[in-house]
Amino acid sequence: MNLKAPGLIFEGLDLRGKRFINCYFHHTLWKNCRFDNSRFQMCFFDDSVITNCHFLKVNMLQCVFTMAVLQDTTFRGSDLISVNLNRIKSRHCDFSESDLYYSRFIGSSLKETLFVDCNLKRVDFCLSRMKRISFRYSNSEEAYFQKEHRG
Amino acid sequence: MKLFNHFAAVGFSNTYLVGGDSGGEALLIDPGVMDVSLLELIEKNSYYIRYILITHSHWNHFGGVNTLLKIYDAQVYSARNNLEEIPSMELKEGTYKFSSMEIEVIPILGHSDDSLVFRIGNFFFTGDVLSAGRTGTAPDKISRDTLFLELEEKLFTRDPHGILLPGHGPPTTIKAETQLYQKYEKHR
Repeated sequence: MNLKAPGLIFEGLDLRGKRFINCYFHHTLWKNCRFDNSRFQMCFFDDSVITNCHFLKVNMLQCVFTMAVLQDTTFRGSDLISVNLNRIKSRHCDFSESDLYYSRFIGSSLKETLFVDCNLKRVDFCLSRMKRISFRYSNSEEAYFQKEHRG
Repeated sequence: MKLFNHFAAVGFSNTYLVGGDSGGEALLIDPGVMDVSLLELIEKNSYYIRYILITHSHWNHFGGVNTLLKIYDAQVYSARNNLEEIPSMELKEGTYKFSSMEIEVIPILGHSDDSLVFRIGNFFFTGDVLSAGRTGTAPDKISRDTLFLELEEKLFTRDPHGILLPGHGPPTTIKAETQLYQKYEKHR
């Protein structure tokens, strides 16, 4: 798929096992949608609102969620490599058992969000506000939490 | 136009491949490393590399050029007339045409004295001057102030929906970076 669909509302879609390359979904609203086992490459969900969606075991590379609102949404068991999650607002979300290598959460607001058993190598959480977050069994020592890591 | 990204674990840098919809002449931006996966990306899409554009003369952005030049009859372009003995055509501020692609060259100083941003359509290839959530590093305060001023004047004034493709890390948008810059970076 190579879609351009800014500003649209999607509800109850079953998009499991699909392939999304260079798709532009900025400022969209997703509700009760399933993307399990899908692949995403350079897709843009910036400024979107994503509620109660399932991104189980997805493969995501170089995608953008900056300034998105994520609520009751799971990315469990996914590869989220070099994904831009800067300034997201996340609540009741689950990134557990995921590989988040080189992704960024700069300036985000993360509430009741799980990062259990994740690979957090080079993940940037600088300037993020966190409330009731779990990094249990994850290599959080390899993530960045302060701006001073800048090379 | 088709756009591909290649990530090199060496230097953690991005290389971008830009070409037509059905193969033919293509250009590479910042081939920091030339490896099998980059070669496969080029060949599987039936591209022939005719142009190599370098955002700035740091090794992790042009380290793959020598190998590429053994495979393809390509011309290298950067802000300098050579990159450690690799001949390069010097680009200045302005608009150039590469095959059917129009490319705007925007010099942005501060991270280095030869940093260029390339614009193709609504895509801005920023090298190291800006990445998602971070302005580029600068060697001293004057360079840092220069970088901030150049970003404010030459990049943040552009279409907020413009897509930024940095040399390191994930893509971002001008809107997102302008807001992050105003909130966190400007007052640092």
